[in-house]
Formats: sequence, structure tokens, C-alpha cells
Amino acid sequence: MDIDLSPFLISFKLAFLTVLILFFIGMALGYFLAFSKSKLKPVFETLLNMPMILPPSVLGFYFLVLFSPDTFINRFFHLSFAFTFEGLLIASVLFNLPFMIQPVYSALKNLPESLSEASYTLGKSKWATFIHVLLPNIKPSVLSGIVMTFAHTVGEFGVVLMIGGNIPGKTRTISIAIYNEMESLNYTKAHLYSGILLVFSFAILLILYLINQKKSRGEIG
Amino acid sequence: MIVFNAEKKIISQSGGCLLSLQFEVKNRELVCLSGDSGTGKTMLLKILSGLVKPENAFIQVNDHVWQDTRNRIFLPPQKRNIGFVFQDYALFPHMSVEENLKFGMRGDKKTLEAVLEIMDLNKLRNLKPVYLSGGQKQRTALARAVLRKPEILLLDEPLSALDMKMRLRLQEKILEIHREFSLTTLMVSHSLKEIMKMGDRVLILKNGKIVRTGKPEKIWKRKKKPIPFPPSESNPRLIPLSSHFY
Repeated sequence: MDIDLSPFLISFKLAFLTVLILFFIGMALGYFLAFSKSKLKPVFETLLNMPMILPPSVLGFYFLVLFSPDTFINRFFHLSFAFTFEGLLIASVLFNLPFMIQPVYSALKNLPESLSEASYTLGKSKWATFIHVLLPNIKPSVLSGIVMTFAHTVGEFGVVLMIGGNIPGKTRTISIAIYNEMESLNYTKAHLYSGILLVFSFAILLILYLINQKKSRGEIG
Repeated sequence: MIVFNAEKKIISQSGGCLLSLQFEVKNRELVCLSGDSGTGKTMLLKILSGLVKPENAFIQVNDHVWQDTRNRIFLPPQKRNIGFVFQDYALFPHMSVEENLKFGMRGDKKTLEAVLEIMDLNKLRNLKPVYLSGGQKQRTALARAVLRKPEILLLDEPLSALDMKMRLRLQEKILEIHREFSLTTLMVSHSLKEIMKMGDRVLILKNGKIVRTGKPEKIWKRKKKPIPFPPSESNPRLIPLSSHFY
């Protein structure tokens, strides 16, 4: 049986880059939401969490409209993201925003205020306090965010299909490949791909539970 | 000498009120702050340390103006020379005792070793806060604040969570530190005995105002006539700021 590994490679590349970009965005936005006293905070919170409840097809549709040749992105910057890996990456980052921001935001919000206050009275700036005091104490939540984002990206179907299409070697991710094989009645391949994803999902969830278990025992964080 | 004059609207469990505090503290004085919960004792320490910005304030420590809202002067907490011991100690959970002490330390290894010795923390230096008792945590927090070589030491109910034996022991430690390092200390406490033993002076707060001040033994002996405050209205820096503003 001829196994095409490119869907796995594309999926993992997409997931890795999404996590990498979202790590920094998630930290910045999580910090903003946790400590901002802006009156517009509820609006930002709602916007950032929209991908949680919106059907992937709706998001995919709007991304496709945004990336289409008529839009300003294309006209002014001569950039076309539709049916490209870059477009897939942008959509994936936006779609996964809440999965990274929420754990960081909740963890920062739950830390005692006195920790950062103590750091300030010890002469440390806000940046130094974030790096040396806050971040080490929200490590388990950041790890949860990373794992959830990675797993969610690997398994995403709706948005990927609408933005990336189904171009082999370019935008065909593992979940699209399963759909493709099933449509072509190649059940053996579909089984194999699905089986690998099943094991992968189990492993990811197991890691997440182990992190949480250690967290509750106080071994980390 | 600390000159403190600040006003801030506060909301507490007992409702909202205007915090309006005017007082002076001499160098090397140990002043206790007493009063019911929600009267603004912790807020006073946070305003003095720069962690909370009041609506109106004039704070001067020796020759340096730390805050003057009229002239838009505000020195951030990082630049105020203070040591703060929080009610929950605020030790960094991911750092060992020694790492906690080194975090904001000014001075060399010799000073660190000396403070570890004074505070009986030598054997605990590699332990993380989760493995420390209440008294050990308190000593670590106190040592960390002292190693900052502060002009002013602020203690927010530092002994409230400890048993009597540990309390008595640590009262001595605080007094020792206060004298040894020539500190000006402000300490929040609810314990009459503690204030009597440790305080050179006490400020009693009620509804955001200082209602009595003086030597602790005099305050609690002479119950009939409360000492009026501010003690001297001739000092223009201690006239409530709102009278300038409104």
C-alpha cells in the first residue's frame, strides 16, 4: 500500500507554526485581558472568544471572502492567501486564538496580586515581573494552551477545507486526506490515517491530564 | 522624615468612604497602624509604596518628593526605597528561599549570609515556600524586604497568621531588624499587646481618617480624652489636600 506522508507533514507544520505564533500573541493578549482596566475589555473578550462558538464553515467563509482577489489585501498589497499554506496558517492562528488565550488569561487572573506587587517593590519592571515571576507560575496553563492548540490545529477540518481547498502536498492536511480517501472508497487508507490520528489524540490528552495531575500535586508551577 | 498626605476614594466590605490621611513619621520610628478592617490601613501602605495611585497626594521622604499630584510627580514603586512584607508574604512559589532573597537584593553575598543568619534561614535556603511553615515564610519575607536595604519598612499584618509562641519570637526579630538596619517602620497590627510592645507610636484609623495618635501606652491608658488629629495644623503640608482642590 502506497502511503502518502505529506498530509501528516503539512498538518504538523501547520500546527507547529500556529503554536509558535500563538504563543507570543496568546501571552500578550492574555496579559492584556487579565490586567487591563479598559471599558472595552468585554468587547475584546467577546471578539477573541468568537471562534469558540462560531461554526468553522462560517469562519472559513469569511476568511475566503477576505482573501478573495477583490479585497483590499489583494489590491493594495498584491497578496493572495486563498488556497495557500500561508492563508491556512493565518486562518488557523485566528481560529485557535481562544485555545491559547483562555488558559493564559485564567491563570494570570488567578495568581495573587501580591506576587507582582512584591516584585515591583523589589525593583523589578513589569516586563521582568512577567518573565521571572508570572510566567513561571502559569507554566502548566501555558503548556495546556500549547497542547490544546496543537491538537486542535491537527484535527481541524472545516476552516482548512474552505481556505486551503484540497491541494495535495500544499494544503491537504491529515483530516482532509481522511475525507478524501473515504470519498474515493479507499477505506484501508482512511482507517490507517484515522488510526494514527486516534493514537495521536489519545497521547495528547494523556499528556494534558498528566500535566494537570502534576499541577494539582504541586510538582510543577 | 516621612510626610504623608493623601486622599483616595475606597470601597470596602463595610461600604465606601474617602480615605484622607495626613501624618508625619520621624526617621527610625516604628509606627503601628491600627483600626477596624476596611478603614484603609493596607491602602495607606500601598499608597506609600506607590502600588496604588490616590486622587490627591503629597508624599515626601527626607528630601525626596515621591509623589505630588499637583505637580504630576509620581515615583514608581521600583524607585521608592521600600521593603514591603505582605499579609500573605507573597513569596515566589517557584523560587527557593535563597532565590527569593536574591531576587531584589542590594548588596553582596556577605549581607545575604548575615541576614540568613539573623533570620535563622540558613538550613532552609534551598527549600521552596510550599515546604515552609508560617513562621519560616514570615522570616523569609522579612529577610527579602530587608535585603533591599530600604529606607522604609512596610509590614502588613506580618504576624497575624502565626501562633502566640512564634508571634513573640518574631516580634523580637522585627525589633532587632528595625534597630540593626536603622529602619523607619510602619506596621499594621490588630493586636494591642503587639502595638504596646513594638510601637513607638500608633495611628488609629477609622472610616479612612486618623482619629487618634500617640504613644501606645498613653493612648490606651487615657481613654477619656482622645488626642485630636492632626496634631499641628500649623504645618501646611498636613492640611487635607481636598481643601486645596475643592
